[in-house]
Formats: sequence, C-alpha cells, structure tokens
Amino acid sequence: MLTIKLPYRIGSNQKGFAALANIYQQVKPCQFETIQLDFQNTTWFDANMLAMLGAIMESAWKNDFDIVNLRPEQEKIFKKTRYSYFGGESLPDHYQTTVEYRKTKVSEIGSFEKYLEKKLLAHPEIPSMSALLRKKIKESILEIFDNARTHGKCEFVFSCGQYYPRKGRLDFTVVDIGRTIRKNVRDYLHKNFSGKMALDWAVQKNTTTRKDNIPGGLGFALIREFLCKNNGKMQIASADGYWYERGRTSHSKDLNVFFRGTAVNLEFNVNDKSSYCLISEIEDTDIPF
Amino acid sequence: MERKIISIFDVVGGKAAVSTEDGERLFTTINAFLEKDFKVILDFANIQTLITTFLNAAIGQLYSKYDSPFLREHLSVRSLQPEDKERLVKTIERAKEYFKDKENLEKDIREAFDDE
Repeated sequence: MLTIKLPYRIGSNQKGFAALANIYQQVKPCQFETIQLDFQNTTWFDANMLAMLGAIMESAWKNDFDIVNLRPEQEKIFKKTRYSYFGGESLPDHYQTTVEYRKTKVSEIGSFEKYLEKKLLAHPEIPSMSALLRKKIKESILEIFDNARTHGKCEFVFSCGQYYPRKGRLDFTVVDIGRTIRKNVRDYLHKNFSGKMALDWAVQKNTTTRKDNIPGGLGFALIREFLCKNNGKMQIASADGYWYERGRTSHSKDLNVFFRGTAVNLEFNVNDKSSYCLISEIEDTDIPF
Repeated sequence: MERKIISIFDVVGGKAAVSTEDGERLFTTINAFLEKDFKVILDFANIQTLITTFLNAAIGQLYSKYDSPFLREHLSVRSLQPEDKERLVKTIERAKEYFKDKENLEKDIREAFDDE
C-alpha cells in the first residue's frame, strides 16, 4: 500500500497545482495497488481543485484509492460537489457555494454546455449577473473545454467550481490528462521549450499549434481580454510550467514537478457591472468577409 | 444568383454552437453551396452561445478555399446577436491572417522565440 500525505492546504495557486502534480507523479507508476490519500494535515482544499484530484485518480484507475482522515467539513464540501469518490453521494448545499464536480467525455461538449447552464450559471447564490457576463463566462469555459479536446487529445475533461460569496468570486477549474501544452509547442516549433516558455508562447494572440485548415490562436486571447475587463484571473499548469494572469499582469514559472496534462483555473468577478457589448453598432451586412 | 439560407440552430440542433464537429459540418454545407455559386445566408436566429472553435471550423476554414472578394459576394449573416458580431469579426480577421501567408507567419513566430 502506498500512503500519500497531502499538504496542509490545497489552494487554487501554483503551490496547489504543484502539490497535486506531485501526487500524480507518485501514483503514475502504480498498478493494482491500494493508494491511501491521507488528509490528516490538510485543513483547506479548494473545491474547484477536485477537478485536478479527480483527473489524477482517474488516470490511475488500475489502483484502489482510499481517502482517509478527511475532516468532516471537507467531506461535506466534497459531497456537496458530488465528488465521484463518494459514488456520486451528495449533501444539500444550503449556501450553494460549490459547483458540481463533473467528468465529461470530450465528445460531449453539448452536455457540458448544459451542465454549465444548470449548475453554474443558474446558481441561485451567485448575484444576478448581466446576461452578457453570464454568456462571456460560459463561452470562456467552453473555449477551454474545446482546447482540451483539440490539443490535449484526451478522453475526458474534469471540472469543478467554487463560489466565494463574500469575495464575489467564482473559481472554476478544467483539467485534462492528455498531451501537455509543452509537448504540443515543442512538436510544432521543433524547439526544446520548457513548460513555462511553452505557456508564454501558447497564450499569445495568434499563436496556435494547429497545422490544418482550421485557424486557431484566438481562444486564449479572447478569454484574457475578457478576464482583464472582468478583473478576473487565469492560471494554467501544464507539464512543468505554470502561468498566471490577473489584470494586465502575467508571469510564468517552473512548476517544479511534471504534470502530464493541463489544468486551467478561471476566476471570475461575478459582481462585474461592465458592459461587454463593444461593436454592437455593426450591421449584419457590414461583416467584413 | 440562387440563394440558400442555412439555419445554424438547425445545423447544431440547439441554441449552442460550440463544437468543432458542428462547425466542420456547417463548413461542408456552406462549401457545397458555394461551389454551385449560391449566395449563402447564415441565419443565427435563436443561437445563444457561440464560441471561436465553432466559428473557426465553420467560417474561418472557408478562407483556405475562397478569398475575401468571393466571400463578400457569396456569404452573409443575419440575426447574429450583437455581442457575437465582434467574435465573428475577430474570427474572420484571424482567418485571413492565418491563411494570408501561413508559412511566413509560422517562420516569424519561430524566429520571434529564437532569442529565448
């Protein structure tokens, strides 16, 4: 039996991604073993980070996992998200601060869109957002989902969210265990980029690793533009790289541990009253084909 | 010129135009009519969610076969939500750039990162 002790805190940040990637590294070589995830020292676990833990546990499906010493309040949160370890068992979420955990086949973007509509955007506790803000949030997450399908070449996408009413923030994490951004960029550029260099390249406007007749290189740019106006935040962990942006300030770092997949955390400011309609004056007939 | 109106709602089977597969299907349909010299009108009525992956596959990809003057004459849209027009305009701009000189663009990008 392998016992892995989780750190005292798993937050939506570089340390949180690295801690979970470290678990991935430990479980990766295991087959037909019992793996005990020991939460004894863990006093905080951001619910949205369950997306990454779920992806890691799924990637090591040939093993049995035991989650032990989980604090009752954390177990409640995990069950509120219907985290699959508990067999989908759920607890009522009276304060509605979690967004259900979900494992979605990449081919089922349509059902993922309905899940976002029902479990995230119709969330009763999230203050009334403008229709445009809701739309922008949904479209941003869907772009990330499709990136996982197109570039990650993975089978499933894992997602989970947490809403922080006092901060007016919604964190939503999307994870795939597939081709990393570093791998895609290296193959495309034929350069031995590190994970952080690959992330710096990939988030630029008009860069894409696509080689076919479908243009790319716009999705990340539009999300960044939106999050900048929204005063939100985006983080990406892939391979051995980590990238972060809040407002117009971005930076990249080494993750210091390898994660064979991509985790994207989007943080939205749900109290945003901005208008997002920029060129509404344009007529249908004026679209510059 | 004969006209063909294509309902996006009908193509994707709902209010969300979000998948590359649906975009590819729409591209194939548009292409079939353009090859027959039809004027194609894309009707976005009742589409509430639209993302670039769909637009890249459906419309961006057209620039691999047709140039702007041809598409301006043969393609138009209607009932597009105001906020989605910006997304479409950016998709078109990006597609033109992508195909304008694909090889040179890729070379430039590689060179830009050579110093690192």
